Amino acid sequence: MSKYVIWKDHRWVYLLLIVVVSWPLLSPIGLPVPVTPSTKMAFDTVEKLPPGSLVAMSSILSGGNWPDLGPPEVAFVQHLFKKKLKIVFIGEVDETPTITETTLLPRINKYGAQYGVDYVNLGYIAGAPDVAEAAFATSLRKVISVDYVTKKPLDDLPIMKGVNTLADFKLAIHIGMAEDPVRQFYTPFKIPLLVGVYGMMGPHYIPYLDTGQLSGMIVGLRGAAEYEYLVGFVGEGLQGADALSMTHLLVAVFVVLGNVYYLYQTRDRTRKEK
Amino acid sequence: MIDFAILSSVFLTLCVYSFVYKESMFWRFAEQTFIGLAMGYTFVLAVQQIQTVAWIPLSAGKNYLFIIPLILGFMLYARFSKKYAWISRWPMAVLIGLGTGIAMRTVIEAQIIQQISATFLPLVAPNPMRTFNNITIVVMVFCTLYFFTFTGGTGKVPDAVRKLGRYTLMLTFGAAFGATVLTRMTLFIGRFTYLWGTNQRPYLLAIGAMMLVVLAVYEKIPALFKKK
Amino acid sequence: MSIFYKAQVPLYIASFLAVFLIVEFFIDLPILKSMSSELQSWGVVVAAFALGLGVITVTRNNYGIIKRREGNWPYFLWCLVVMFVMIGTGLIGDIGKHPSFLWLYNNAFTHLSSTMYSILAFFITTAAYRAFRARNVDAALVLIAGVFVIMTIAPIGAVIWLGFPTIGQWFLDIPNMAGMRGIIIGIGLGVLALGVRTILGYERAHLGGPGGGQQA
Repeated sequence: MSKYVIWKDHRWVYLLLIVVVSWPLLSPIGLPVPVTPSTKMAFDTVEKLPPGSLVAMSSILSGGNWPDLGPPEVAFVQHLFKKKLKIVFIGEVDETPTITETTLLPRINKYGAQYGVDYVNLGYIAGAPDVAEAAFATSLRKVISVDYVTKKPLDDLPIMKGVNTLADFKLAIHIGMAEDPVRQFYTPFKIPLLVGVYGMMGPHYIPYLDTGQLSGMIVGLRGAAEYEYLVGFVGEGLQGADALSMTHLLVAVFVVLGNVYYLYQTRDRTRKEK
Repeated sequence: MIDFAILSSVFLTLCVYSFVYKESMFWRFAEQTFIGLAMGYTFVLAVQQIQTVAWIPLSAGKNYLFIIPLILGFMLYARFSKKYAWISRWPMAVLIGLGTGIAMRTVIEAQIIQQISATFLPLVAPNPMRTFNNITIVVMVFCTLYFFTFTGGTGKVPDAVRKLGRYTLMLTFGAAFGATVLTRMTLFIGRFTYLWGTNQRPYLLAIGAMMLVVLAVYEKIPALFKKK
Repeated sequence: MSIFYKAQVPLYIASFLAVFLIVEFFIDLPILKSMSSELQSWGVVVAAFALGLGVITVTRNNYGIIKRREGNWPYFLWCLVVMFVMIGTGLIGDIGKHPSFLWLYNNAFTHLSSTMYSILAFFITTAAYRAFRARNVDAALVLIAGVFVIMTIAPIGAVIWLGFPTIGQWFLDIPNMAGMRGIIIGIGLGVLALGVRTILGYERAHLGGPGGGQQA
């Protein structure tokens, strides 16, 4: 086994990874994407809302995490516009308001929604996520006086009339880590809370789904693919699902091969010692 | 007609990926560009935040109390002076106090009471699979919590409970690893989805080929000038 | 007196604010709610100032390297140039809205940012065959759970064998959920303990300075 070049120079493995990623992107396979319970719960929660309901969409979206958090947010926002729900965008990271305007919203079919009436971008709140979310949830007019795009006072925006705290919203959706919105959105106000999380944080938040503190969850690109399938549009989730399959299969195969090699080495060493 | 936007984005992406081939001038260039851009962007947005939240209401006469956080904010910069660094402790204390209070007041319900009450599951359920799952959850949660207590003595039973707690954590970490692979691959797929886009493909192939040639001969050039 | 202002007053400030916010949460009085929301907005402003500290730190460090002409100093000079160009274009006119600033953000920063995070995919692939070995029972459990969860997440897992998503979802919903619940409760208790230490003034790390805040 030691004579195989691939084990000596990792760059061959990197090249194999590039080929495995590129092939399904250039020539899609079209594998089915089964829907997991957490994604279905999130979809049903949004489906139950009557048109015109106010939804708070807070996020830590940035250029760096767009591939992981962007597709879930696109899927959520597309569903919200399709259901004619009203959306208030709020950022918890400095890049979020810019990326919302330049990258997120251009990809969405807004079904005729008007800025200031059906949706608004309130910009970003500095500080630790806990502090920023608590400030937004308990007294948003203290930390936000104008919107991000038009710089109009909140009272001049029809969508913000009578909105002072999170209690005035029917649903909160957070894209990012789930502990802080569970503590600052759900615990004090008990409004339904959905999250779109990094792929690697999915298993961490299953206890919150189990207790009902989260009403649903989209986990990374795979969750976004499932949600897009439920909503009925093709976004980055479904486009990347095949590549996701092939790369995961590659990693699983390497894990198995690595252990076969390890067992062979251990047996070889034991035989030589005897 | 060269699209400098696409040229810039593809070139910078490939500069970062050149690191997996070897650490080179392209990687160092991309690294320092990223740091500079990140710092600059963060600063601009911070100024915008201060202007929107504090300066506009203050200068419009709506809330004169905002002078206090503005003064506290400037006090933070005293940390760069050896003699007056202690002044920066006051605004730091404000941030720590606010963060502590906000975290503590909801953690009891959110992370302790709700989680513990959800663990009280019926140990006999109509469905045998459900019964097995409920018993597994209750036993594993207890064992995991017991694993983290470092008092409680040793012996066959406590050690066995801690061992089961450790095995539960190993299964948790295994699931976390599987999910971590999802995140890393997602980010990677996102970049390649962009690079293989119709508009980006010619730039990808041209710049990629040029960089490979430069990197391949890069270490050979000094060797040519070395005296034998 | 000087020790009082330098070390004691910050501890009193942190304690008072923490206790006030906790008490305000449980007592429904409009005056307390109003004061609390005012304080939280102050926290947002002070936190925004903290973001500017990084610029000064990077400038000081890089200037030192450039002045001493240490190895690779031209890259550090380039870093400073890029930073000040970004700041300059961002502060012209409407803050953060200048076309040059947005061009740099859209066509340089976001791409660099995503690519930096994505490079870990290469290393996780090599780690899969180099490091992920079933050396003992613990490692074997991690490996088994990991492989099943990987094949659950990948849509192709269900195509290869239906057992993958079934068993993988069981791993996520039962053992993983139980372990994570234990960790979450532990973290909650840790947050409480750290909070009590901060309120009582035992936690001094945030005071910083020589001796980690032990001296005034």
